[in-house]
Amino acid sequence: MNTIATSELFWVILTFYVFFVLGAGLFFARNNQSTEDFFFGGRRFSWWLIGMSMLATGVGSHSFAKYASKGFEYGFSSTMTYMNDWFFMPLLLFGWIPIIYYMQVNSIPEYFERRFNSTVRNLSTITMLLYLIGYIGIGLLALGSLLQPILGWEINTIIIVVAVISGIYVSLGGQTAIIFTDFLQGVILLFAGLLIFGLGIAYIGGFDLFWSNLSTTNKLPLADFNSPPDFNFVGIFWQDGVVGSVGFAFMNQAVIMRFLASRSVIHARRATMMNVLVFLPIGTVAVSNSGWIARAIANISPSVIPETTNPNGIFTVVASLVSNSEPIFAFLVAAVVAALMSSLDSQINASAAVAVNDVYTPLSKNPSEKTRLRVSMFTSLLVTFVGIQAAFLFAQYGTIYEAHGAFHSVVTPPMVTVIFLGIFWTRFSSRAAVLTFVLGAAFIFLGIEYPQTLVQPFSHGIEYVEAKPWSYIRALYNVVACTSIGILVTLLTSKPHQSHYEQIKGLTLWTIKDGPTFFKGSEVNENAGSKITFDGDMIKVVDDLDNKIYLPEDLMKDLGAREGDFAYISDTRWYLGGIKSTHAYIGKMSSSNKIEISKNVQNHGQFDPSKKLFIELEL
Amino acid sequence: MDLFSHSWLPFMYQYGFGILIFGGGLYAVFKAYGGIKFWNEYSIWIKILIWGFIYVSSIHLIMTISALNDSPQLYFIILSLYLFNVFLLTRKIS
Repeated sequence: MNTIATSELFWVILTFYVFFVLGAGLFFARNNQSTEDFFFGGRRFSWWLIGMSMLATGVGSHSFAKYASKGFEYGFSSTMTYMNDWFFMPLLLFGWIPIIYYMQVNSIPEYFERRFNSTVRNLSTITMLLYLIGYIGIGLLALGSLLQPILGWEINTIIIVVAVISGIYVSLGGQTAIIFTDFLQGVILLFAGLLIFGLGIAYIGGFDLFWSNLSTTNKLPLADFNSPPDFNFVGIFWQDGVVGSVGFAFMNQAVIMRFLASRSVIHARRATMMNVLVFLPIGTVAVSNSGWIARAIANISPSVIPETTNPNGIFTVVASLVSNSEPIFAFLVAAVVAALMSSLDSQINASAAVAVNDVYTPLSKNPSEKTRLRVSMFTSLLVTFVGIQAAFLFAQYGTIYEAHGAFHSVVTPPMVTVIFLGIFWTRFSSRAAVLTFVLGAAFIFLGIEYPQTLVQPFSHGIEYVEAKPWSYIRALYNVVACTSIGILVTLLTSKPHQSHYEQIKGLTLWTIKDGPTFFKGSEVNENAGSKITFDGDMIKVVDDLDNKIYLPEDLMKDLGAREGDFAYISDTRWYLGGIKSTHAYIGKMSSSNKIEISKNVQNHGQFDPSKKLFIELEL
Repeated sequence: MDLFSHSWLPFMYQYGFGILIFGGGLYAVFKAYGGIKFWNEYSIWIKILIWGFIYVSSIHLIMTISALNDSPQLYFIILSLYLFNVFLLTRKIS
């Protein structure tokens, strides 16, 4: 194997970056006082921080490997799966986000227990852990493939080294560390992705030469409808565009935790909107363009990038070729490491959240918060270890794109179906949910065993390949099978009792109006949204264990607040993104002209008396 | 070379199903939030949702026309749409 030559400078830059990320994890670790902080960062962050963090979670190093390789083989159509998430936005922004936020659903399995029963929760916990650990495995494998041309090590060694570093950092830092470092890593990976495009265009000799050395099919944004079998439009539309997008937005625990880390439902919505409409379009260019540059170079000079080049490592090949100095090359490689870390950390933290909330807590008897936090940290290390095993498994599959596609199309459909039917159909029952999981898995297995009988009717004319039969379009068969089971069982069983509808208040789209009241614990104040700014020295910390704030009479009047209302208090400096902020309930009127806050509120908010603060009535 | 199966066929398939999923979702949300009340309370969000659909489909439409007619200049329209989008979404939305 050829190794790309590097000097000490390259390693100094790369090592500096890794230590910087580890340092950030340690720095933010001091904010973790509970699992609420460890997993949800105290639910206080602004939309722009969450939006960029979501991008960094979605754009992993597997994206650089996956999409650059397809960009090299097929051109601009490598971008197609990043550009169709919008179809699901009405349901996500106004259905799913308010449900999980207001009903304080900490994990998808927890939602299933509240919406259905504990059996559904157990089944979904297994599926969710498989899904997340698979994601960790794909990310590790992708980074191994990208770094192998530089390091020249065995891919398994690279996977272990990267996993150990990421595991330690997440175990120490938790969600706050992830959100802040993700923001930085998101900016770095976007910048690096665009930098490689600029350098590549300069290397080729200008945009005109780049454009003219791509064929018409290379420039089309969508792939050919049903060929070739390893990259066709219709298969990828169902596997990645529909099942993958829904899976990522509705059931990926890491994304759910971003929504829950937002300071309000409005901020979670804005973050999602910014991510899909502003960050993702740049993200798709950033991760794909090294493949396009490689295609143009290969067309101009086949000896520079031969057709036989391994597509999985094309990013590294192009970065080494077009960067005119070693620091730039080191920066570009660091950006890919950033991409891996930023998605890997989220998935590790999310897996630990599911393991603690849905496995450890139900099994143990009232564990203390300290024990839960310690278990969370240990679990982060454990899932990283299991993720390494998943990476070894995926390494045997072939290309990363196909491995990820095949994994997604098999694991995701039962869960996605139950979430969708659960949210949008109040009659959808627990029994139907259990059978959707169990019979759905059976039908998926039958589809793998007998593809020419079961998957063929959905194939849209895609050629049958014995080794990997319809690896993408089988997602459509799997979704149809699971949905049919769910609908049939619901219709064939008797209607749930009236008490069922009482139990699912706030947990479906049709009962969502109850959500804010449930969240607050009383009726929502009609003055919600009013806001007042004040000096930090107006605050007086009082000995009170409750999560409360006590306002003077004039401030209560100006705000239109009542005792029991839910408020958000924050430092006015927007660029802090909410790190110095917290939520609190409004208590009885303050006896002095000071704003009295409990120690608990001050510990979370970390307010500085010399700075201006604001209070906003939220519910 | 006939490029229909590589250009307009996938475009129509994607946005045919896309409009069904998007429109169905919007309709369900509209009904669940109490019809006209939803419009009154969230009109800015509804406009952004519809704009988002137009924006994403326009990018694919322009990229397809640009590839078939070999006109890279059309990417300036995509860039303009993108900048307008950034302007729109960074305004105060409550």
